[in-house]
Amino acid sequence: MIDSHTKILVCIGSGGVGKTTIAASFGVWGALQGKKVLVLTVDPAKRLATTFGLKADGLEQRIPFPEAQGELWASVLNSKQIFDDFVQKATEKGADTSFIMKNKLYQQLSTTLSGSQEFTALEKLYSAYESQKYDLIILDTPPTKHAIDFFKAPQKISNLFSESIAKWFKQSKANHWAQTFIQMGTQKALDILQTLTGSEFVSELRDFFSSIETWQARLESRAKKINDLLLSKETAFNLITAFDSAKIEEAKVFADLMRKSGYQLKILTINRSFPNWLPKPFNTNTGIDQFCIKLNLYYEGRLNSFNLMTRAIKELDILMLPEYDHDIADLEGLKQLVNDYKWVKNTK
Amino acid sequence: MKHEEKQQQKIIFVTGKGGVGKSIFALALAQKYSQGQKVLLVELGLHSFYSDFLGVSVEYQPTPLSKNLDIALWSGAECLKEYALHLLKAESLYKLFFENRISRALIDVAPALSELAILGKATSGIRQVGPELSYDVIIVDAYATGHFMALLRAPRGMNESIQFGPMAEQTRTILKTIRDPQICEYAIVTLPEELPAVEAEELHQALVSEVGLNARIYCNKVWPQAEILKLKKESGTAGVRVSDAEMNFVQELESLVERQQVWIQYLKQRDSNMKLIPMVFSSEPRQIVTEVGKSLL
Repeated sequence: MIDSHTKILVCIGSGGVGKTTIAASFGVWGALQGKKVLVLTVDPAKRLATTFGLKADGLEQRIPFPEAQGELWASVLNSKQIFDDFVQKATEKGADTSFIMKNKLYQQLSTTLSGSQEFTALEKLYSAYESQKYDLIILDTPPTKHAIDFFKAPQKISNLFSESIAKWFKQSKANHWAQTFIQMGTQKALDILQTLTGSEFVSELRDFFSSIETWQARLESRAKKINDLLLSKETAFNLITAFDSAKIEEAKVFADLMRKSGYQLKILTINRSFPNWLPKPFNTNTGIDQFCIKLNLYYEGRLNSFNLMTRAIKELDILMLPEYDHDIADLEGLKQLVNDYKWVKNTK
Repeated sequence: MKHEEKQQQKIIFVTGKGGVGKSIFALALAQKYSQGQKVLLVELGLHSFYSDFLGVSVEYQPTPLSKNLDIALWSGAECLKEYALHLLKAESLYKLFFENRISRALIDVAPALSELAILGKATSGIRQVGPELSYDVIIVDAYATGHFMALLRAPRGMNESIQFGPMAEQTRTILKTIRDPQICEYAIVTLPEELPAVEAEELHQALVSEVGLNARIYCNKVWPQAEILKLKKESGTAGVRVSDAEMNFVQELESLVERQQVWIQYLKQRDSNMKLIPMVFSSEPRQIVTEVGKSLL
């Protein structure tokens, strides 16, 4: 599982599997181990955020945890702010960034655009890593339909900001459509884009790309560094899944894919795998007993399909977490969760 | 004889927090409608949930799942391609555009283009743009909460920044369609627990302010309160000996349904006609869908 080389733990998984809570619990776990831990979270449960007094301002905030030997820090990611900060830093000193900030496409890019949340989460992760202030950084990734979307996001953004695309628009601005030396294909493609979307859209795009020229070099080098960090031995991944057969099947395929791509997938977490409050049948043949048998059958059925699957997964530690009869909303709840970690070790 | 007017197509968007059983609900709803009407069940994105869940192959072009029910998987890129092909008429032109490396990168992330294309496709039958979608009902198993709102906001955002040209025109008709209560319905699936319930309530409000329509709320995985209360009664009946362990178990169940009731009441303030879907104690996909379907009849 997590060894002393691990500086970063990335929690990934599709939406609704409990990523945020589990990421927070690893923060608590790390602090109890004596580490200085930072938890980067995207969308914390309101009550959890309130208990910890977390604000979505992107600041790193220490969470009081007196009984831990280490320190627990947290930061709620604010996609727009991180993007703006990045642009400010990447633009040459003294240059005016207000033009780009006002561009409507930039505004959409930094907030709702597919991939921008993932990119900003990784950007924040990288700057926290660079600061060398923490022993362990835990990243709770933005909700996606499918876990794999997370890995595609930085590449998507990086493609958009590649030098060629900016050049494309820049040349078309400087020389007007017909007189450029750019490839015929590209020129035609741009004409088609205009047919499809209208000239107003294309002109917004052109403004956008000419204003980002100054920082795209930095963005490209940053994207590369982030990618290297994700592939390094210092980064471990924790794939979190819910306990149903379709989700587990999906996780299995994804685990293979991650390993083939060179990511260090170390943990598979199965959330809500068994209720911590369900007794064994009473053998009294009362109505209560019947109901208890029904529930046991249901949960055992799930456990069987899980066992079949785990046999197929090697070189991966499996963490099973219980289903509670309450929501986890404070430090006590997280400590309880850490206490209930049930490991199925598959590694040597 | 009076000429019979063709029935208006209906589009139902299903959304909710991840993990609440949205996709299973959408399938059960589609099956219910397919008992009398021709239905298309649509998944959004690049990966199909139903292909793993049901062991069927799901692609962009609809494939039959059962009688009167077809299933399809729509990605933004493919919807955009189809729209472009429709507009450009010539395949060679569209290839030129979509096979260009730079325009591909642009389409991948260009603000709101994918979202617009998906909404455009879903409403294409109604707006009479593009290939005909000959279904009475289209059920869209849409994105989870945040992403779904981004999808719905896309046409308005685009409308505000781009006012002229073919895309602006399309955007306006899409906007009109998704706000038309005669055509579009919104279903929010949730659970009787704090986080999903609060999120459902916020989503309901967001939908009212974005499209001006009241979504229906469906509360999934409701434990059998009546059955559990009966067990409690049994434990208190004279002559029935029940152990302490059993008593504790009943109490645990009772407090579970009480907690669920708190969130059911909370949600009912939003949608007084909210439907409750019982918890299904099975891990067999088709059985779950059948059981969920029963409560929709």
